[in-house]
Amino acid sequence: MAREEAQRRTKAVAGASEERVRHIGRWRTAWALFLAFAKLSPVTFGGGFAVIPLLERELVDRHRFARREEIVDLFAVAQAVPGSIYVNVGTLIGYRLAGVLGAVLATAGALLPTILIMLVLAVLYEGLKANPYVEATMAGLRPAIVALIAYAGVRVAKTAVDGWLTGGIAVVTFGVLFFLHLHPVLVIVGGIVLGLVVGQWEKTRRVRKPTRVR
Amino acid sequence: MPLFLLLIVTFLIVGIVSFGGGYAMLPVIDHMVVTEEHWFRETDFIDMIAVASMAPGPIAVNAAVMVGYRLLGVGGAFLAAVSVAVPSLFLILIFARAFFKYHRHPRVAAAFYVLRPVIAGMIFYAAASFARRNGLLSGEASWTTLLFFLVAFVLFARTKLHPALVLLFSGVAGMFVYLPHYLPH
Repeated sequence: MAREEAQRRTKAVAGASEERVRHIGRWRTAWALFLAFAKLSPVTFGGGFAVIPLLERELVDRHRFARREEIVDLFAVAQAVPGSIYVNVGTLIGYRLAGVLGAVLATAGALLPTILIMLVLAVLYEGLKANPYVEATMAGLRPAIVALIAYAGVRVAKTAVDGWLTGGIAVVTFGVLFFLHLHPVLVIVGGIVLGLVVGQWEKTRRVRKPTRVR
Repeated sequence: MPLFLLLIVTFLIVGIVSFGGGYAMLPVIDHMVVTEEHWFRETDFIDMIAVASMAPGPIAVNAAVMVGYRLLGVGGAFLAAVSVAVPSLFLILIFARAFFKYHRHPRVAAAFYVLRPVIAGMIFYAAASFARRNGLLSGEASWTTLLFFLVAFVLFARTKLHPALVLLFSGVAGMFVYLPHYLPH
Protein backbone atom coordinates (compact mmCIF):
# COMPACT_ATOMS: atom_id res chain seq x y z
CA MET A 1 0.00 0.00 0.00
CA ALA A 2 2.86 2.31 0.84
CA ARG A 3 4.41 1.54 -2.51
CA GLU A 4 1.19 2.25 -4.42
CA GLU A 5 0.90 5.53 -2.58
CA ALA A 6 4.47 6.42 -3.48
CA GLN A 7 3.92 5.51 -7.13
CA ARG A 8 0.75 7.58 -7.27
CA ARG A 9 2.62 10.57 -5.86
CA THR A 10 5.56 10.12 -8.20
CA LYS A 11 3.20 9.96 -11.15
CA ALA A 12 1.22 12.96 -9.96
CA VAL A 13 4.35 15.09 -9.78
CA ALA A 14 5.51 13.86 -13.18
CA GLY A 15 2.05 14.39 -14.64
CA ALA A 16 1.71 18.05 -13.74
CA SER A 17 5.09 18.71 -15.27
CA GLU A 18 4.42 17.16 -18.63
CA GLU A 19 1.52 19.26 -19.87
CA ARG A 20 3.03 22.46 -18.71
CA VAL A 21 6.52 21.78 -20.06
CA ARG A 22 5.15 20.58 -23.41
CA HIS A 23 3.29 23.83 -23.56
CA ILE A 24 6.18 26.26 -23.02
CA GLY A 25 9.27 24.11 -23.76
CA ARG A 26 12.24 22.93 -21.71
CA TRP A 27 14.42 26.00 -21.94
CA ARG A 28 11.65 28.42 -21.07
CA THR A 29 10.57 26.17 -18.20
CA ALA A 30 14.11 26.07 -16.85
CA TRP A 31 14.48 29.83 -17.23
CA ALA A 32 11.14 30.50 -15.51
CA LEU A 33 12.30 28.29 -12.62
CA PHE A 34 15.59 30.18 -12.43
CA LEU A 35 13.71 33.47 -12.15
CA ALA A 36 11.12 32.15 -9.68
CA PHE A 37 13.76 30.74 -7.33
CA ALA A 38 16.03 33.77 -7.71
CA LYS A 39 13.13 36.07 -6.85
CA LEU A 40 12.39 34.36 -3.53
CA SER A 41 16.00 33.54 -2.69
CA PRO A 42 16.62 36.73 -0.66
CA VAL A 43 13.57 35.88 1.48
CA THR A 44 15.09 32.61 2.69
CA PHE A 45 16.58 33.28 6.08
CA GLY A 46 17.96 30.59 8.34
CA GLY A 47 15.93 27.43 7.84
CA GLY A 48 13.88 28.83 4.99
CA PHE A 49 10.50 27.66 6.24
CA ALA A 50 9.05 31.15 5.99
CA VAL A 51 9.38 30.93 2.23
CA ILE A 52 7.08 27.89 1.79
CA PRO A 53 3.81 29.83 1.30
CA LEU A 54 5.49 32.28 -1.10
CA LEU A 55 7.05 29.45 -3.08
CA GLU A 56 3.71 27.66 -3.19
CA ARG A 57 2.08 30.75 -4.68
CA GLU A 58 4.84 31.11 -7.25
CA LEU A 59 4.97 27.46 -8.36
CA VAL A 60 1.32 26.48 -8.02
CA ASP A 61 -0.76 29.60 -8.72
CA ARG A 62 1.48 31.61 -10.99
CA HIS A 63 3.32 29.06 -13.14
CA ARG A 64 1.23 25.90 -12.58
CA PHE A 65 4.48 23.94 -12.32
CA ALA A 66 3.09 21.82 -9.49
CA ARG A 67 -0.21 21.02 -7.80
CA ARG A 68 -0.80 22.23 -4.28
CA GLU A 69 -0.73 18.74 -2.76
CA GLU A 70 2.61 18.05 -4.43
CA ILE A 71 4.30 20.93 -2.63
CA VAL A 72 4.11 19.10 0.72
CA ASP A 73 5.80 16.09 -0.85
CA LEU A 74 8.48 18.24 -2.48
CA PHE A 75 9.37 19.77 0.87
CA ALA A 76 9.33 16.39 2.60
CA VAL A 77 11.77 14.97 0.05
CA ALA A 78 13.90 18.14 0.10
CA GLN A 79 14.36 17.67 3.84
CA ALA A 80 15.64 14.13 3.37
CA VAL A 81 18.44 15.27 1.06
CA PRO A 82 21.52 16.97 2.55
CA GLY A 83 21.68 20.72 2.07
CA SER A 84 19.31 23.66 2.23
CA ILE A 85 15.64 22.76 1.94
CA TYR A 86 14.87 25.72 -0.31
CA VAL A 87 17.70 24.93 -2.73
CA ASN A 88 16.77 21.24 -2.73
CA VAL A 89 13.16 22.04 -3.61
CA GLY A 90 14.51 24.00 -6.58
CA THR A 91 16.77 21.15 -7.70
CA LEU A 92 13.99 18.57 -7.32
CA ILE A 93 11.29 20.46 -9.17
CA GLY A 94 13.77 21.63 -11.81
CA TYR A 95 14.85 18.06 -12.46
CA ARG A 96 11.25 16.84 -12.58
CA LEU A 97 10.18 19.49 -15.06
CA ALA A 98 13.19 20.00 -17.31
CA GLY A 99 15.82 17.38 -16.50
CA VAL A 100 19.42 18.24 -15.71
CA LEU A 101 19.05 21.66 -17.34
CA GLY A 102 16.10 22.51 -15.11
CA ALA A 103 17.83 21.20 -12.00
CA VAL A 104 20.98 23.23 -12.61
CA LEU A 105 19.16 26.45 -13.50
CA ALA A 106 16.69 26.26 -10.60
CA THR A 107 19.54 25.52 -8.18
CA ALA A 108 21.58 28.41 -9.56
CA GLY A 109 18.55 30.68 -9.22
CA ALA A 110 18.01 29.62 -5.62
CA LEU A 111 21.64 30.32 -4.72
CA LEU A 112 23.00 33.14 -6.87
CA PRO A 113 21.24 36.15 -5.28
CA THR A 114 22.13 35.16 -1.72
CA ILE A 115 25.73 34.37 -2.72
CA LEU A 116 26.02 37.84 -4.25
CA ILE A 117 24.45 39.52 -1.19
CA MET A 118 26.79 37.53 1.07
CA LEU A 119 29.77 38.47 -1.07
CA VAL A 120 28.97 42.18 -0.79
CA LEU A 121 28.69 41.81 3.02
CA ALA A 122 31.97 39.84 3.10
CA VAL A 123 33.80 42.54 1.12
CA LEU A 124 32.36 45.28 3.38
CA TYR A 125 33.18 43.36 6.56
CA GLU A 126 36.75 42.51 5.57
CA GLY A 127 37.35 46.12 4.59
CA LEU A 128 35.85 47.64 7.73
CA LYS A 129 36.58 45.14 10.50
CA ALA A 130 39.40 47.21 11.99
CA ASN A 131 37.12 50.23 12.32
CA PRO A 132 36.28 50.82 16.02
CA TYR A 133 32.56 51.26 15.24
CA VAL A 134 32.49 47.91 13.43
CA GLU A 135 34.49 46.28 16.23
CA ALA A 136 31.97 47.53 18.80
CA THR A 137 29.09 46.30 16.63
CA MET A 138 30.68 42.84 16.42
CA ALA A 139 31.10 42.80 20.21
CA GLY A 140 27.32 43.23 20.49
CA LEU A 141 26.64 40.66 17.79
CA ARG A 142 28.76 37.83 19.24
CA PRO A 143 26.56 37.05 22.27
CA ALA A 144 23.46 37.48 20.06
CA ILE A 145 24.80 34.85 17.65
CA VAL A 146 25.28 32.45 20.55
CA ALA A 147 21.63 33.10 21.50
CA LEU A 148 20.49 32.59 17.89
CA ILE A 149 22.24 29.22 17.60
CA ALA A 150 21.12 28.10 21.08
CA TYR A 151 17.51 28.92 20.19
CA ALA A 152 17.85 27.07 16.87
CA GLY A 153 18.98 24.08 18.96
CA VAL A 154 15.92 24.41 21.21
CA ARG A 155 13.61 24.51 18.19
CA VAL A 156 15.16 21.42 16.60
CA ALA A 157 15.17 19.60 19.94
CA LYS A 158 11.45 20.30 20.41
CA THR A 159 10.58 18.20 17.36
CA ALA A 160 13.51 15.76 17.59
CA VAL A 161 13.36 14.76 21.26
CA ASP A 162 10.24 12.84 22.26
CA GLY A 163 11.51 10.41 24.89
CA TRP A 164 14.49 8.95 26.69
CA LEU A 165 16.02 7.41 23.55
CA THR A 166 16.07 10.56 21.43
CA GLY A 167 16.92 12.70 24.47
CA GLY A 168 19.82 10.39 25.26
CA ILE A 169 21.07 10.54 21.68
CA ALA A 170 21.07 14.37 21.77
CA VAL A 171 22.93 14.45 25.10
CA VAL A 172 25.49 11.83 24.00
CA THR A 173 26.06 13.72 20.72
CA PHE A 174 26.72 16.91 22.65
CA GLY A 175 28.99 15.06 25.07
CA VAL A 176 31.23 13.35 22.54
CA LEU A 177 31.67 16.64 20.67
CA PHE A 178 32.19 18.94 23.64
CA PHE A 179 34.21 16.72 25.97
CA LEU A 180 35.85 14.16 23.67
CA HIS A 181 36.33 16.53 20.68
CA LEU A 182 35.28 13.87 18.19
CA HIS A 183 35.25 14.95 14.54
CA PRO A 184 31.72 16.27 13.77
CA VAL A 185 31.69 14.47 10.39
CA LEU A 186 32.30 11.21 12.25
CA VAL A 187 29.41 12.03 14.59
CA ILE A 188 26.98 12.63 11.72
CA VAL A 189 28.08 9.47 9.91
CA GLY A 190 27.67 7.62 13.23
CA GLY A 191 24.16 9.04 13.54
CA ILE A 192 23.23 7.88 10.03
CA VAL A 193 24.62 4.37 10.64
CA LEU A 194 22.82 4.11 13.98
CA GLY A 195 19.64 5.32 12.28
CA LEU A 196 19.87 2.65 9.62
CA VAL A 197 20.50 -0.02 12.28
CA VAL A 198 17.46 1.13 14.25
CA GLY A 199 15.50 1.16 11.00
CA GLN A 200 16.51 -2.42 10.30
CA TRP A 201 15.59 -3.42 13.85
CA GLU A 202 12.22 -1.67 13.53
CA LYS A 203 11.59 -3.59 10.33
CA THR A 204 12.35 -7.02 11.82
CA ARG A 205 10.19 -6.17 14.82
CA ARG A 206 7.34 -5.26 12.51
CA VAL A 207 7.74 -8.49 10.53
CA ARG A 208 7.48 -10.50 13.73
CA LYS A 209 4.48 -8.55 14.95
CA PRO A 210 2.49 -7.26 11.97
CA THR A 211 -0.03 -5.19 13.92
CA ARG A 212 -0.85 -2.48 11.41
CA VAL A 213 -0.43 -1.69 7.76
CA ARG A 214 0.87 1.72 6.81
CA MET B 1 47.66 20.23 -1.29
CA PRO B 2 47.25 23.71 -2.83
CA LEU B 3 44.94 26.01 -0.90
CA PHE B 4 42.18 26.16 -3.51
CA LEU B 5 41.99 22.36 -3.65
CA LEU B 6 41.87 22.12 0.13
CA LEU B 7 39.05 24.68 0.12
CA ILE B 8 37.10 22.66 -2.45
CA VAL B 9 37.56 19.35 -0.60
CA THR B 10 36.63 20.92 2.75
CA PHE B 11 33.34 22.34 1.50
CA LEU B 12 32.48 19.27 -0.58
CA ILE B 13 32.61 17.30 2.68
CA VAL B 14 30.43 19.92 4.39
CA GLY B 15 27.96 19.67 1.50
CA ILE B 16 27.75 15.88 1.71
CA VAL B 17 27.00 15.72 5.45
CA SER B 18 24.81 18.81 5.75
CA PHE B 19 21.71 17.01 6.95
CA GLY B 20 19.24 19.11 8.86
CA GLY B 21 20.88 22.11 7.28
CA GLY B 22 21.74 25.34 8.95
CA TYR B 23 23.52 25.64 12.23
CA ALA B 24 24.27 21.92 12.60
CA MET B 25 26.95 22.49 9.97
CA LEU B 26 28.84 25.06 12.02
CA PRO B 27 30.77 22.47 14.10
CA VAL B 28 31.79 20.69 10.90
CA ILE B 29 33.08 23.87 9.23
CA ASP B 30 34.60 25.09 12.49
CA HIS B 31 36.46 21.82 13.04
CA MET B 32 37.88 21.71 9.55
CA VAL B 33 38.85 25.36 9.00
CA VAL B 34 39.87 26.34 12.56
CA THR B 35 40.88 23.21 14.49
CA GLU B 36 42.52 21.32 11.63
CA GLU B 37 43.70 23.93 9.12
CA HIS B 38 44.23 26.90 11.49
CA TRP B 39 43.03 29.25 8.75
CA PHE B 40 41.46 31.61 11.31
CA ARG B 41 41.55 32.32 15.02
CA GLU B 42 38.64 30.94 17.07
CA THR B 43 37.09 34.34 17.71
CA ASP B 44 37.57 35.42 14.08
CA PHE B 45 35.42 32.49 13.06
CA ILE B 46 32.57 33.64 15.35
CA ASP B 47 32.67 37.06 13.71
CA MET B 48 32.57 35.51 10.25
CA ILE B 49 29.57 33.39 11.23
CA ALA B 50 27.92 36.46 12.74
CA VAL B 51 28.21 38.26 9.41
CA ALA B 52 27.06 35.11 7.56
CA SER B 53 23.97 34.92 9.80
CA MET B 54 22.93 38.46 8.93
CA ALA B 55 22.53 37.66 5.23
CA PRO B 56 19.68 35.63 3.71
CA GLY B 57 20.39 32.20 2.29
CA PRO B 58 21.59 28.85 3.64
CA ILE B 59 24.05 29.37 6.50
CA ALA B 60 26.47 26.73 5.16
CA VAL B 61 26.69 28.49 1.78
CA ASN B 62 27.08 31.88 3.45
CA ALA B 63 29.84 30.56 5.70
CA ALA B 64 31.53 29.10 2.61
CA VAL B 65 31.44 32.53 0.93
CA MET B 66 32.98 34.16 4.04
CA VAL B 67 35.72 31.53 4.36
CA GLY B 68 36.45 31.42 0.62
CA TYR B 69 36.59 35.19 0.31
CA ARG B 70 38.93 35.60 3.28
CA LEU B 71 41.32 32.95 1.89
CA LEU B 72 41.27 33.53 -1.87
CA GLY B 73 39.15 36.58 -2.66
CA VAL B 74 36.05 36.62 -4.87
CA GLY B 75 37.12 33.50 -6.79
CA GLY B 76 37.56 31.62 -3.53
CA ALA B 77 34.11 32.70 -2.39
CA PHE B 78 32.46 31.24 -5.49
CA LEU B 79 34.63 28.12 -5.37
CA ALA B 80 33.63 27.39 -1.76
CA ALA B 81 29.95 28.22 -2.35
CA VAL B 82 29.72 25.94 -5.39
CA SER B 83 31.58 23.15 -3.56
CA VAL B 84 29.12 23.20 -0.67
CA ALA B 85 26.08 23.17 -2.98
CA VAL B 86 27.20 20.64 -5.59
CA PRO B 87 26.86 17.40 -3.54
CA SER B 88 23.09 17.79 -2.99
CA LEU B 89 22.63 18.69 -6.66
CA PHE B 90 24.36 15.48 -7.75
CA LEU B 91 22.59 13.38 -5.12
CA ILE B 92 19.25 14.59 -6.46
CA LEU B 93 20.23 14.13 -10.11
CA ILE B 94 21.26 10.54 -9.40
CA PHE B 95 18.67 9.50 -6.81
CA ALA B 96 15.63 11.75 -7.44
CA ARG B 97 13.36 8.84 -8.27
CA ALA B 98 14.46 6.90 -5.19
CA PHE B 99 13.99 9.95 -2.96
CA PHE B 100 10.38 10.36 -4.09
CA LYS B 101 9.72 6.67 -3.71
CA TYR B 102 11.30 6.00 -0.32
CA HIS B 103 11.10 9.18 1.74
CA ARG B 104 8.04 7.81 3.53
CA HIS B 105 9.53 4.35 3.96
CA PRO B 106 9.45 3.30 7.65
CA ARG B 107 13.17 2.50 7.59
CA VAL B 108 14.02 5.95 6.27
CA ALA B 109 11.70 7.46 8.86
CA ALA B 110 13.48 5.46 11.58
CA ALA B 111 16.88 6.64 10.34
CA PHE B 112 15.76 10.27 10.55
CA TYR B 113 14.19 9.62 13.95
CA VAL B 114 17.73 8.89 15.17
CA LEU B 115 19.48 11.52 13.06
CA ARG B 116 17.33 14.45 14.21
CA PRO B 117 18.44 14.39 17.88
CA VAL B 118 22.03 14.07 16.62
CA ILE B 119 21.45 17.29 14.68
CA ALA B 120 19.98 18.93 17.80
CA GLY B 121 23.04 17.89 19.84
CA MET B 122 25.34 19.31 17.18
CA ILE B 123 23.56 22.66 17.19
CA PHE B 124 23.78 22.84 21.00
CA TYR B 125 27.48 22.03 20.69
CA ALA B 126 27.89 24.87 18.17
CA ALA B 127 26.19 27.24 20.62
CA ALA B 128 28.28 25.98 23.55
CA SER B 129 31.62 26.25 21.75
CA PHE B 130 30.81 29.78 20.59
CA ALA B 131 29.66 30.65 24.13
CA ARG B 132 32.94 29.29 25.52
CA ARG B 133 34.95 31.55 23.22
CA ASN B 134 32.88 34.51 24.36
CA GLY B 135 33.69 33.64 27.96
CA LEU B 136 30.01 32.95 28.59
CA LEU B 137 30.68 29.49 30.03
CA SER B 138 33.70 30.25 32.22
CA GLY B 139 32.26 33.36 33.83
CA GLU B 140 34.92 35.54 32.22
CA ALA B 141 32.32 37.42 30.23
CA SER B 142 31.28 40.84 31.43
CA TRP B 143 27.77 41.44 32.76
CA THR B 144 26.95 43.39 29.61
CA THR B 145 27.89 40.43 27.37
CA LEU B 146 25.71 38.14 29.49
CA LEU B 147 22.88 40.66 29.27
CA PHE B 148 23.26 40.86 25.47
CA PHE B 149 22.99 37.07 25.30
CA LEU B 150 19.91 36.88 27.54
CA VAL B 151 18.03 39.74 25.88
CA ALA B 152 18.74 38.33 22.41
CA PHE B 153 17.64 34.84 23.48
CA VAL B 154 14.36 36.14 24.90
CA LEU B 155 13.74 38.17 21.73
CA PHE B 156 14.36 35.10 19.53
CA ALA B 157 12.27 32.79 21.69
CA ARG B 158 9.41 34.97 22.88
CA THR B 159 8.75 37.54 20.15
CA LYS B 160 7.85 37.27 16.51
CA LEU B 161 10.57 39.75 15.52
CA HIS B 162 12.49 38.72 12.42
CA PRO B 163 15.81 37.15 13.54
CA ALA B 164 17.76 39.50 11.25
CA LEU B 165 16.12 42.44 13.01
CA VAL B 166 17.14 41.10 16.43
CA LEU B 167 20.72 40.73 15.20
CA LEU B 168 20.59 44.28 13.85
CA PHE B 169 19.36 45.58 17.25
CA SER B 170 22.17 43.73 19.02
CA GLY B 171 24.75 45.16 16.64
CA VAL B 172 23.51 48.73 17.01
CA ALA B 173 23.24 48.38 20.80
CA GLY B 174 26.76 46.91 20.81
CA MET B 175 28.06 49.87 18.87
CA PHE B 176 26.87 52.25 21.60
CA VAL B 177 27.77 50.09 24.59
CA TYR B 178 31.17 48.81 23.51
CA LEU B 179 32.43 51.77 21.48
CA PRO B 180 34.49 53.26 24.37
CA HIS B 181 36.51 50.00 24.49
CA TYR B 182 37.58 50.30 20.88
CA LEU B 183 38.03 54.04 20.36
CA PRO B 184 41.68 55.15 20.48
CA HIS B 185 42.35 57.27 23.55
